[in-house]
Amino acid sequence: MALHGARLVLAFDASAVSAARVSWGLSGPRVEACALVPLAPEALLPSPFEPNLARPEEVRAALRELRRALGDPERGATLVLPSAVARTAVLEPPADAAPRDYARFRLAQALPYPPSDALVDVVLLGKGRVLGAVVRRTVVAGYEEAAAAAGWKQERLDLAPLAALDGLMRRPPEGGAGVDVILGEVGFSLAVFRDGAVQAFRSRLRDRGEGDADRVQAEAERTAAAAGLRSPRFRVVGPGARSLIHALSFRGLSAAAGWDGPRDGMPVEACELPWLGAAR
Amino acid sequence: MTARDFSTRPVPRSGLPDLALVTLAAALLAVAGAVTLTTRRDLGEARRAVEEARREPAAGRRAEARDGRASSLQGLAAQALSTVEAPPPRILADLAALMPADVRLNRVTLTYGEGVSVELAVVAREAASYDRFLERLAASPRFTDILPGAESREGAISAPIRMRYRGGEAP
Repeated sequence: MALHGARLVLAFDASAVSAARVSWGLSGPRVEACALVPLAPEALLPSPFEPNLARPEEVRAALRELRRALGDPERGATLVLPSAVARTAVLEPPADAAPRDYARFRLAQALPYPPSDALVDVVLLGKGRVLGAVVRRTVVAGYEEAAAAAGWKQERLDLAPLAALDGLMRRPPEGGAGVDVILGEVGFSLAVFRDGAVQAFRSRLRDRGEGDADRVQAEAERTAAAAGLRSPRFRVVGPGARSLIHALSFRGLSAAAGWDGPRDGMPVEACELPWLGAAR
Repeated sequence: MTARDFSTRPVPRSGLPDLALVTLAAALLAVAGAVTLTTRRDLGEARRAVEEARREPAAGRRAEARDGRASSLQGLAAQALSTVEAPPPRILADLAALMPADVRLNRVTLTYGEGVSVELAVVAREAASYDRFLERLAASPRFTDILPGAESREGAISAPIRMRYRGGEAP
């Protein structure tokens, strides 16, 4: 059963641009239409400081093709930027402070660029905590310009790790404790749940070469231990999720997809698309 | 708090939920005004009828008054009872609780008699939302005899819906 109307989401990552019409139900995301257009290597290089679209014309062409594949939608879309473009921190705003203002105050202090160039927003984690994220205006502008030039109408803009966290928080892990692994092509994030709420959130760069699963597992276990969790259950979303789940399960760990959905008409499994959470 | 947005130029969020609330408030005000006027008029009529009955000396006239006005007074009493048990704000609140965010009411007509009949002019941005509203109405214990009218689907869905209010304990 869908609880909300379908939303249009357009997502970027290093190797492809993807889009889908998605609604969320009690059992997870329901994808009505989905398309993916690969990008040439190094056409898009996610990073927090420099413009990410190394070859903007190639990205624009892919975005135009993606739009055609979804029937030239007229409605506004949520743009989702990939992992590794933002800085994040778990914060506890004072009771009388607006969470977004407090996050701006805290995050802007340690930026290597002027605070006026910082775009800040938050995820409410419950128990008085928020996850603050900051992304550079010039980085965002590059994505926005490419999408607009390809005919996409922008409704709002989100970040893949935060969007995924939204989706995962809909149904906290069994027993209220576990580690959620949110994979991107260039980076990944780890969210540790304890007592039904997110206690820690950490982001790392990702090397998808040999030993990828080992490195992600080691980071996840360190993060869990720092938050006081032993032998946690893992939930995984993002590119390479299924193969990481297999690797972790093979080692005797408890691992499952963060969400699932019907495979019909999908270019990849729903659990491989962390940005589906943006449709929440 | 508004939806998270890192856009360089955030688009003002759609005012649809606010618009729905304003529309609902306006409808509530209009309905409350109409009910107040009707009730005041009926009360006047009832008082006049009682005074008239008191003044009638002849038994036949009294009987006539009883026969002629009794049903009217009973109707008024039932109507007043309905108004107390199912005041317009409660009915509108019950409706609002069932409405998806992109559904609004262009008109609400409440008719108090033996029970309360409700007639809505509904506008929904998407067919799915209209269907969801109907499903919720059908599932609600507070409304019965749901009768959707012809749908107009020019962009948004607009349709009349008739039903009866069954009420229940106040939320």
